[in-house]
Amino acid sequence: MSDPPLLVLASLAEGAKHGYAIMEDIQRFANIRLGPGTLYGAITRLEERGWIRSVESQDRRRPYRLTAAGRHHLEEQLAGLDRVVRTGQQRLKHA
Amino acid sequence: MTRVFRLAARLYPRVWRERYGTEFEALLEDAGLGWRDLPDVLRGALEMQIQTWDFRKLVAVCTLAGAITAAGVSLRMPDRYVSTSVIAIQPTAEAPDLQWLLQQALSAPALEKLIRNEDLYPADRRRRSWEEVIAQMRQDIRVVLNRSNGQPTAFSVQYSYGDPVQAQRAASALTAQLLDANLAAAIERHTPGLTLRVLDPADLPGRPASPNRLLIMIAGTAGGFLMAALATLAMRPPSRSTSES
Repeated sequence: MSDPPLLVLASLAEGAKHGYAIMEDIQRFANIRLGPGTLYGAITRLEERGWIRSVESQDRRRPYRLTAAGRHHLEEQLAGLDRVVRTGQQRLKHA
Repeated sequence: MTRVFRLAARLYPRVWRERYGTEFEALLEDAGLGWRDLPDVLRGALEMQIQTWDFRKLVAVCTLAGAITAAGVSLRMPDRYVSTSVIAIQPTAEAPDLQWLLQQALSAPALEKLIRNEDLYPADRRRRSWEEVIAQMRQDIRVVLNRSNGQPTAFSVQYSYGDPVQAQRAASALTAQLLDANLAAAIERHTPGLTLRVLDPADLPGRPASPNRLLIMIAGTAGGFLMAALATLAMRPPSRSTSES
């Protein structure tokens, strides 16, 4: 699973984070290291779609949080993935 | 290293840098980046640049890229020269058929001898088996039959090769092999054989028959245009959701 926007959404589901924290979190939970270009490409697209929004901050490191639409989208994506995982596991059991 | 990444970050569009530049630079400082991250930053810059282009600019760049790529590919393709000989044919009773003659003239031993005599496919002979080289030569030979009222009246032997002189020599040799095979069959069968007469001896091709570089360039340009159209469709942002937490 290496869909950068989905990984970013999953990271932000825990709470607001800035770019480096998102990168570290994804490395930790998915063992995937997103490069800075890939990460900010995903952040840009997610913000354009209204799925994440920046949080006001005085720091150069601007945090982002999920919007309601982003949470809904993430839930849909994860439900789809869950169906795939469960189907695959069931079929492996009977193979 | 950080300086290199700062320079790379300047390749992002100005509008993007105004919005994300400060935090992006902070990330570049925090993340302890190495050379392996540079392509990722450059790719990101290109992706963001493309997103800011309007359709006309995207079409211009993609079309130019397609044309340049096609030109590069076509220039790397080797020239192929085709030498052709034309032989008139007059069937006689009990004569061997043309198909049989072609099988004799294009048999593996006959082609192997011709390849050795004319020193054809030197690079292929070093890398590949004789069977593969002979199969390659068969692909480069084309026999086209002309008919009149359903009866064969002439046929042409075409041979395609990278060198015009060798193409002509090999086409001449192939023509001679056909005539020899006809004669040998006539002697062996005690029949008159086919009446074969060389109408046009193998010519020396003046210009390459392929690749058609103009066609490749047109295809590359059209491909670039198509890519621009597809990229425009793919990058069209979906309608923005208005719901907010």
